[in-house]
Amino acid sequence: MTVEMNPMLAEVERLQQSCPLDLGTSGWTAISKREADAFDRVAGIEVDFAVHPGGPRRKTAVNPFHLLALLSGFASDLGVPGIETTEYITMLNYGYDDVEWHSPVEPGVRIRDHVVLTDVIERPGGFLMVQRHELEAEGIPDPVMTAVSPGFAILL
Amino acid sequence: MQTVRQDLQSYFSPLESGSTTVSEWVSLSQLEVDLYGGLIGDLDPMHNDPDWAPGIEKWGGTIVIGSHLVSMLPAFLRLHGFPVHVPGVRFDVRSLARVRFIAPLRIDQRVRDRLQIMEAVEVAPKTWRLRTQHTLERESFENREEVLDKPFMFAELITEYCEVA
Repeated sequence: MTVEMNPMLAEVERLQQSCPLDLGTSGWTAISKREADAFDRVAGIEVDFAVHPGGPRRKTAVNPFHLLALLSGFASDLGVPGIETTEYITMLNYGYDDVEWHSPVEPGVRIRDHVVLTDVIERPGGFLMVQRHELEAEGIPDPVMTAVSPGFAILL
Repeated sequence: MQTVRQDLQSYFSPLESGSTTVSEWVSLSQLEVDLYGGLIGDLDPMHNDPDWAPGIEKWGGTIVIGSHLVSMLPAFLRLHGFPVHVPGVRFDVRSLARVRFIAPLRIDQRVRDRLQIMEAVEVAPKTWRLRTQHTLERESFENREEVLDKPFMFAELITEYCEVA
């Protein structure tokens, strides 16, 4: 009997040897006031329209969890060399570690994410691919948020 | 909405480490999940297409986006009675030490937060820092009396509350 090897296994093992691997920096994006207000609503925080009559005239920073929620999109845009979701592999969001918010970000300020693949750890059924994020905001010298996001790569 | 200023000292000082409270049940609708996915640029059939056959086969329907319920931790804190977004108190999220997504949660499936106080410390005059653990328990979709063994999510959060003029 011939046992067919998952072709992604070699790619994942190659990545293990390459860590830490700089995955690069995303393009710039910005969260508008309207988006920030809408996010608060869907996150269960009321927007006080008595204070902001006539529509979204937000005077506060964006919800810190809004910044966190964008990380998976940034990471997905940057990708991991050699790894694409195919019939051989799928990625699940496993969680977050060590998320810290260092500075508030106002609506309209451009942000981008710098991502490093720090570790690839074998686990039953797949591999944890650990990425470290540094979220940068235009005009602010230090990262406004840092976070670690382990993704679970399941070899199919 | 609460209109009186919170007396944080009398609120936080009696809190005991290890004490636990359980929130009321909440759920997310398909519309709420669609709006959230659109806002964060993560539209995926597993979350947003109720007719997607693999999702129906695997989970019985669409499932929520994990970060959506992470983003709702302040709303859960408020359900527990903490002074989140009330007049006279500045509320800040400081850090999230750990989040693990353990089992899927379907759209409209109810979830509740079992919160454990880890630490409540006055870090500066009229400023309290709170460390909490959150276990988001799932109700069985088929039997509303049953709490499932595997929760949706576990999280450790640090928040800060400051009396302001």
